[in-house]
Order: sequence, then C-alpha cells, then structure tokens
Amino acid sequence: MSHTFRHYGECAMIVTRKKDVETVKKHASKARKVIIVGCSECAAICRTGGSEQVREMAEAFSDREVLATISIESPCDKRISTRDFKRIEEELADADALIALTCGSGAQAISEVTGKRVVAALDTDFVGMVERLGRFYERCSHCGECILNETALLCPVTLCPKGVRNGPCDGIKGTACEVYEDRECVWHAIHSRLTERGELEAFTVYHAPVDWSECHSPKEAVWERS
Amino acid sequence: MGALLTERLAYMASIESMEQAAALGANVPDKTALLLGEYGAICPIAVLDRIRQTLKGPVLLELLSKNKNRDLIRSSIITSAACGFQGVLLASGIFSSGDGKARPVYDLDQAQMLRLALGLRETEAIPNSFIIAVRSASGNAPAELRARWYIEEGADYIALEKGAVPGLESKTLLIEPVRPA
Repeated sequence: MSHTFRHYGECAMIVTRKKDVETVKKHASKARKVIIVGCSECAAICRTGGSEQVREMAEAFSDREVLATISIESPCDKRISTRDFKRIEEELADADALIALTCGSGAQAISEVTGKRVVAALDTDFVGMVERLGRFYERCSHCGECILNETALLCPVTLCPKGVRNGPCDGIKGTACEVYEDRECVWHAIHSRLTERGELEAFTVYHAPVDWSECHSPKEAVWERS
Repeated sequence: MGALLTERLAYMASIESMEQAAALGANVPDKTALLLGEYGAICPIAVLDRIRQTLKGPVLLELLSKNKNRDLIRSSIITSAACGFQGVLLASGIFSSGDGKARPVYDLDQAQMLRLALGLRETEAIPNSFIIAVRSASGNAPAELRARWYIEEGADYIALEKGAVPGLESKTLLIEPVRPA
C-alpha cells in the first residue's frame, strides 16, 4: 500500500494549475496592452502565480505591450486588490486586459475591482492541505455537513471517490479502493482508526444524505452586524 | 418482506440489444433469478421491462447510484415494482465506465438507498413482497460490518460476487455472470 491516510499538516490553500499559454493568449487576442497579475499567496506556493510565473507570462506576452506586472498578496480579497491596484492606477487605466495568475475567485475579484477585461490564466483545482511544497492533498469538499467527528477525522466525502457517507461501498477490494487500487479504502482506514480508539460503534452510525437545499451555489457567508 | 426461492442471481450486467438479451436469457439456468444490470446501451426501465417479459423466472433490476440522484432512484424503485420486477439490487456502480468523462452522481450511498427503498415499502409505494437487496463485499471487517448493518436495517438480502459473510449465509445471493452459449 503506497498511500495511507495520515495527518499531513494544518495549512490549507487553493490549488491551481497553469492553463496552456497559447490558450491564455487566444483569450487575450484583442488586447494590445496588458497587465500581468500574480498571487503571492496560494498561487505562489503552487508555483502557478508567483513572481517567477508572472515574469514568464510577461515574456510570453512580449509580442504585446506589458504595462505592468503586479503580485497581490490575496487577489481574492477585494480590499487588498483595491489597495494594491491603486499603486498602478495609470497603467490600469490604459490596459486592455489583465492576465490573472490567480484562482477563479481571485480572477473574478480582480474583474469586479477593476472593471477591466480579465483573462484567467489558471485552472482552479481544489482546496488542499499542504504537506510540503509540491505536495498538496484535497481533504475537504465543503459539503456543508461535516461528519469528521464520527469518522475519526477522515473525510469520506472527499477521500472516497464516490463520496460514500456510509461505507465501504461494494467495490472495496481487500483493503484497497475500487477506483484507486494503490490506495487504502478510506472506510477501511476509518474502521482501523475507530477500532484503535475503541469507538467502533461509531462506524455504523447512519449519516443521512446531504441536504442540497442548503448547498446551492453560489454560497455566501455574510455576518450580521451586531 | 420479499423472498426469493433461489440463492443465485444470473447476471446480465450489460445489455446492448434486445436480441443479445434474448440469446443470453436462453442460457439462464433453472432455479436461478435473473439480475438485469444498467451498464449497457439499453437501460431505461420500460425497455428492460420488455426484456423481463421475455425471460423465465424472477427478474431483479440492479439500480446504480453512480448515474442517478435520489429523485431518480426513488422513481426507478417505484417504476420497477410497478412494472413487475421481483425486486431491486441496490449498488453504487463502477466509478468509471464508457469514456469515463461523465460526472459521477453518487447522490446516495447504498445505505441511504436502502433507507429510501425501505421507506417506500413502509408507505406502500412498493409492495411488501418487492425484494430489496444490496450489493456487498466480503473478506474484510468493514465490508462485513456494513453487510450486517444492511440486514439489520431491513434489507432482504445482500448480494456478493464472491466469498461469504459469516452468519449471513441464508441472506446472501451469489451473483454469477450469464455466459454466452
């Protein structure tokens, strides 16, 4: 078994992948003057939107006029984006498009903050736990109905490809997952962990289906003013 | 509570044409119930029901959660009972089939499907005699614990492709693919 379930760390981040540069340039084909925008948080750690990737993208757009490059600490935070874009107000006014090396939330926040055409240069994959640089693991699916306390802190909704909340499914092969045969079935891992803890009675506690009436996109969390 | 007078399910996992179903159906051994799967090109219940009518013996329908949300699972159970199937086998379904690019559904797991089906029986949306079986695994502690849970919850049977769950032998149906002649 090459893959077992362990605690990997405490840091979580949005994991992104680079889009093909030619695809990005195609979406920006009408823009003559561009600004390259990076993210110095998640995308920088993923090496998809850090200063090096911003420089590479600027080089890829060398056939256009690159008015500025900027790395924003958290482009998804409109307050920070608004603050940082003030530093390049003149270039921003002149730009035809912004090339966003950020997650989808970041690209949309930039669009809302600047009112400019924004081309998303990254694909957003998942919110990941960081083991170390280059090793990111999805551990939460944001289902809105967390059952971690009943499953020995292993999330079956995420770690089971079928998202089975009362497992294992009929596909378990020995101790392995039906879908990823080199990985332990998460329900096997949950069973082992609950057995070790003397909490096996939790294994067959029934978990009702997720109530999707509460899980429509887009989700919002808006605090009431006290 | 439903009951079958057989311990074996002859399995047609993938039905691609009416002709293939008729040809395979001729090979179903006596005293064996037939299990029609949903992996082939032909899977709407109405068409599977036409096949059912050409076959001898009791016929169960395998219902997968991989391609249905809870609404469709509910209507599939009710429809299969209304059509005259002897029962259903509730299964999650192989994760990736076809070109593997479709978004899997898995809105419900098998335990949740079972609760849904038992609820339909309780409200008489399906007859009491309609068999509710659940596909299971064996050979490891968590799978066998879950299989026992299915029976304790009210499943008529568990169905296995191989092995056995100790103590559940009388509640187990063995699945064996129907072979072409």
